[in-house]
Amino acid sequence: MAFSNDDLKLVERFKAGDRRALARLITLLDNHPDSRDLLERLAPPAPGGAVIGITGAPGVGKSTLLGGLIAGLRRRNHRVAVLAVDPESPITGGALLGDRLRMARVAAADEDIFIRSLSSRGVAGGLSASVHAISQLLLRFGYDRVLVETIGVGQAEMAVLRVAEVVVLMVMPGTGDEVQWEKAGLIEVAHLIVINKADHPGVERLEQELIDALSAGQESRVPPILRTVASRDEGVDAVIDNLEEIVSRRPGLNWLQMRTEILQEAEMLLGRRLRELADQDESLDDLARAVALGQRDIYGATEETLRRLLPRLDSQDRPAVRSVTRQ
Amino acid sequence: MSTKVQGDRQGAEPPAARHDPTRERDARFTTLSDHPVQPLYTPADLADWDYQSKLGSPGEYPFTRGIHQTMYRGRLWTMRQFAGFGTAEDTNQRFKFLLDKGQTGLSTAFDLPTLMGVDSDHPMSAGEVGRCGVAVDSLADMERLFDGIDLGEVSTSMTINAPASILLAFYLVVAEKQGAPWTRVNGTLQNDILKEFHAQNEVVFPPEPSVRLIVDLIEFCTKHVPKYNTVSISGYHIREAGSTAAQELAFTLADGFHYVEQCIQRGLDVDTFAPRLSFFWNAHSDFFEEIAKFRAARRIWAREMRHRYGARNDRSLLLRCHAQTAGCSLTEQQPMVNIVRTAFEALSAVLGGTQSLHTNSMDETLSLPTENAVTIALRTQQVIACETGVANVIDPLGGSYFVEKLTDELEAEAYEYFKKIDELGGMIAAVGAGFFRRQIAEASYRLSQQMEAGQKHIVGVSIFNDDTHSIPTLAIDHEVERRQLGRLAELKGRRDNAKVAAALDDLRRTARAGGNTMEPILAATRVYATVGEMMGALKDVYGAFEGGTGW
Amino acid sequence: MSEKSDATVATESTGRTPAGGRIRVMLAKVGLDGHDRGVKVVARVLRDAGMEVIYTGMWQSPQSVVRSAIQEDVAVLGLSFLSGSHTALMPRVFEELSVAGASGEIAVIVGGIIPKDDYQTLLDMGVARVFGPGSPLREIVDFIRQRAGRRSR
Repeated sequence: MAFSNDDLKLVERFKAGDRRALARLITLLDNHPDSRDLLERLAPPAPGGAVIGITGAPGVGKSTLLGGLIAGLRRRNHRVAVLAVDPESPITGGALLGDRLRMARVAAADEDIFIRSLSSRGVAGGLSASVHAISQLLLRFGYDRVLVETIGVGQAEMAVLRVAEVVVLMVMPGTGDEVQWEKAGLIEVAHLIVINKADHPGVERLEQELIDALSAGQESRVPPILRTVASRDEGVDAVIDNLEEIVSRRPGLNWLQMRTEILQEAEMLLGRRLRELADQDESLDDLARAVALGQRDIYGATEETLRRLLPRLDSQDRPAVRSVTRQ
Repeated sequence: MSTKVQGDRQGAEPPAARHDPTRERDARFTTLSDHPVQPLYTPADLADWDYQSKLGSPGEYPFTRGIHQTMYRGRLWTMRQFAGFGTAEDTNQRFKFLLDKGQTGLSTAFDLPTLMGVDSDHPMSAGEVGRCGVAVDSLADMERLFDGIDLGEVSTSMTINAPASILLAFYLVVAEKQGAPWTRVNGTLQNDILKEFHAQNEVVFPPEPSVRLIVDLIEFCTKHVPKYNTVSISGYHIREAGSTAAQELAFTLADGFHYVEQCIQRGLDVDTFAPRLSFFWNAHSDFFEEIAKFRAARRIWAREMRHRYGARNDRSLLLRCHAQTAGCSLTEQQPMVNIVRTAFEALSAVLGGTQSLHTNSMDETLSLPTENAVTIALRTQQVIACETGVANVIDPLGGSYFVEKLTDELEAEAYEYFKKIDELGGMIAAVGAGFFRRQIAEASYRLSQQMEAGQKHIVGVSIFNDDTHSIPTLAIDHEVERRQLGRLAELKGRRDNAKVAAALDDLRRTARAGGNTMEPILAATRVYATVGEMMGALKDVYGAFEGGTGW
Repeated sequence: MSEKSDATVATESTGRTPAGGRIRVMLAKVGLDGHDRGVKVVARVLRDAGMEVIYTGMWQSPQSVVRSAIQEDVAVLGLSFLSGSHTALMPRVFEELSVAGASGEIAVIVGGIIPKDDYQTLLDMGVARVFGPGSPLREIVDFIRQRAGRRSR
């Protein structure tokens, strides 16, 4: 897309290491999927960076563990960014974001920690794409461990986890959530399972249930299962050891898969652009009415619409609402 | 509202059937907690109601009408006004003044750093030292606070929670140094950490070890300080955080039950510690709802203590309580109107049968109260006691169709909440799941929405808000903080720091081994370890509670 | 950033900025004071008005709040005080904003129990608006919409 001068100034500040510019560009990426090619203007991230997804039911202690992970990763000289994804209200679109408090205190005095909350709003182009682009931005800024936190329910949240190269599933004894993860397929996505609040009764039973469930699957792949008491920072170092180990072993990117992803992204952007054009296109309304009255058939109308709109796809006219900032 | 319709109740046609809802003014006929109320209550509302099982005589099971046989005809409630001033010396002066005037009970408010278990020199304490109460960092401050006051004679109430065992240890060591035997030491600790998790947020450790500390303290006092009131189980703050009356009732009682269960699990006989538990309620602005709440609380507590926890001593069944008028009902606008609010709230606590009462000063929302405002607040109680005649008759509203019905309804609502807590896996699990915080936030949000929509009103704010008047307020002195910091630095240089380190290690060891923490806390107190140091040592073992927004 | 003076005000009925993003607001409690009833109600009201609200929780330092506000790229930062520590803590919040070079980029509002005598002091410091007890929630929503509307994005 075409970027405004303001946007380009932000890019320059970003390159100079300005965190406020980073924060602004995250907002841009989150609000405007078609701005994602911005990443191309930035140097590719240094090798060795990783995006790590952390998921689990509310109350399992995600934020507390994240606090421990942040501190531990910092001790190992990683620069750490956190993307905390919270659901938006389906009614108003507003959102109460972040439980920053447990993480923020670790982060207060350390510029090498960056925490950002996102709402899982229904942005065109999808939450997971948004999270992916923002993760890439953070990696390019020099944060080499990007932790993505999300509750493990819902389609959008599951998709977010696919953005991560390593997925940590958090569970705790005594909640009976096991069935839920199995249904969600989460348990099979996880590279690492952490049983938090391991000082509570029922740990052995939970661990056995996990192993049974995993062994029953077709691939019979049982990832490491670790125990933590995140509130006392117990077991957190072992989680980091395992994470680092998994990161170091991960395979390189597969070009065929990249081909698929490029097409997916292109499809999404095309669809979005098409809808924007359609919003300003009165003949589409007329066509729709004609189809509704039985005067035209839907296939002919579709073909005609495509013929009319396709040539305009690449033009620079933008919807009015964006003219405030775009040139 | 469905409750306006009088259905086919038993017996003769109730008079309410003649009520025509279409002729009612446009208003939301519910209590402050949004509990629906009927236009009229009649014998039909108490159809299956049995006097003996629901009320009984005052001083008899289930104690609905009051815990004493004679109630206020025997002895009026205690008029206890809570106070705290910047430094230990200032408060000490105030204490001596009050004792000279014949008062025997002292009440201490601590500043925020003390309440949160950090020292005055902690970075987070900046701007807070000595502001909302007295700053106590170590035994040295406690010695100044009670200098020249015989701790074998006075009774002291201390509003402290997370670091309660440390402050009690300070108090006991001062007594020890005065030569006052612990068996004579008398007073009350708030020491109710669960309501902090639900509402007031002055928490340091995760829920489980926090409760363990309380059980340690109860166990210790049962053996060594038998006259001390170990926990003041508090609904006050739950209500201030925006709960409904039923939530205040249910959550507070559930907290009490949890402490009782944990003590029994520790191996204590219920009748040895239960008589030293007391309660602290809010007296809010919905008059009858509050009265019903006090009455329902006594009945539930007595029943559960007897039947669920097997108490045999009648004193274990008594819900003794303190009440305070609702700080959150006061307004900054037209502050003199607060005097009127407080009077009605105080009256509801008295009609509810409270054992002691604090009336808020009209300027509480503006600053620390001025002397004039405190005096009016106290006079309010005295007018109720001496002029209104309400203290002449025991439980004068007993038998009112409305009050009895509302008492029953609140009781039933409380049991619904008990059931929900059980379903969540008990108290600690429910705290962990954010159940209480979410329930309270919901209720508080609902009320604010009703206010915004004009369905509930606050005089002088949302309605009749045309005139404004103001009252003089008390300025706060920043000098206190500087002086306290100097003292703490001086103490840390003067004491034997090797002994302090050893005592703190010992405290860690005991906590790790799951032993009773009171003895090592007393030992650390004697070598002048600070509140922050001891809390830090415990944090090393228990971990820190880092909150949760709990929407 | 282009802080446009000829502000385009956000659409009245939504939580969106003119640039099409949602209004992001941070609400915070600085210091040891744990009274969070009011700030939580405000958070929910703003959420219901369609905004993205980041609540920091309690026990924040001026530094942590300012850092977070910048990282979260919020248009408005709201601080709630009920223990009287605003006089000690607000100057430090503005100091941190200035150190971070973000003065003027984030509108700062204050709520809670603030004596009338302190209003002017806070406004002189740079506080955009003080909302005392009993402030209509609608007013807070409108004010934030209007301030967020001045932002380019």
